[in-house]
Amino acid sequence: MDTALAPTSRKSSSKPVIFAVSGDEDMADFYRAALEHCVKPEPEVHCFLRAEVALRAIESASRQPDLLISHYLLHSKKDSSMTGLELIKRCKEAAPKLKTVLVSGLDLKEIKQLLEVSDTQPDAFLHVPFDPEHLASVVEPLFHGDARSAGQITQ
Amino acid sequence: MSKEPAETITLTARQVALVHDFIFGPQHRFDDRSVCIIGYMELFSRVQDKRPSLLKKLSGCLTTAEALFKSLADQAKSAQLAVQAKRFNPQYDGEFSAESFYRLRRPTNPVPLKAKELEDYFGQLADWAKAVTAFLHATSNRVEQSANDSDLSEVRDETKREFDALWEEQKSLIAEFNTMCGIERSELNQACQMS
Repeated sequence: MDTALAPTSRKSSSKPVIFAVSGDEDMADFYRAALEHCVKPEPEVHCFLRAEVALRAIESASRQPDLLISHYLLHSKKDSSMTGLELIKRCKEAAPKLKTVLVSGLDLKEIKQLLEVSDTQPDAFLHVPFDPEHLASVVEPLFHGDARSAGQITQ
Repeated sequence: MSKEPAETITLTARQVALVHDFIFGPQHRFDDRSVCIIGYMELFSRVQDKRPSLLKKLSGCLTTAEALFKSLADQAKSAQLAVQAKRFNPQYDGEFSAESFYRLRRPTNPVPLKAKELEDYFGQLADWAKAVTAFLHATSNRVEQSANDSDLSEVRDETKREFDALWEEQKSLIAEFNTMCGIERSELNQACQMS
């Protein structure tokens, strides 16, 4: 699928806007359900299966999203070759105030190594597997500009 | 078929990387599946007004996951049979899976693997994927039977425990494969990007 998965509602422009990027359709769908039900204030969630589509949406958006959640591994045979970290870097170039969360199930040691050599850092990190409560606890502080209480890499 | 089975099979780093990509790719997605399945069960328990839609999504996730692991079990079984065929007939040039990593023959960094070990390994992977498939099928049935309950907390707790156990097995299998090949994940990633 090349397009963003449509948000369930566009009721209010005052809602925080979240872009969630995962190469997996079930996972993208789950983000919408979990974020809409568990995060306060309730956000408007746009899900993307392809990094390039999310990037184009950020570059051309009349209203920038408040938060980008992206999986580290996004590419598959027919999809993007961009990693979530590269996507975060390019999105931050287009929207410097954007808060970001990197998601991965990779070994934490491996993620730490990847972040050490990267010139871009996400504001928070979410290790897979996680539950909806934990997702909310990572996302909510970022709406209030508090990256320190959001998810950090801990062993 | 020759009478003496070959002791080793030599794969290039690229071929090993492709095995990783084709077979371990879906295995890595195991974590995402657990997030969705457990997550929808959690949401079902806490969100009162959208249960039918959450239940539908949960059932959809379970069905997709079951198909994914059924396919992984089939691929691993096919890889096991192909290694067996090559072990007994070194001239065998068949495919390990439908997406054949054998088509690519880069003679760089050859990795000699003990043939019987590799064959057994794929057998273990097939068994693991079959166990996941059966567990997902049973969970689907339990969810269906519990559809009228006010919450799925009991099913969720048991599912979580089972996922944790299967996840530990998954980690061991990946570690075993990397040890067998003497290849670090970073090297595999690099080899995957060579194509």
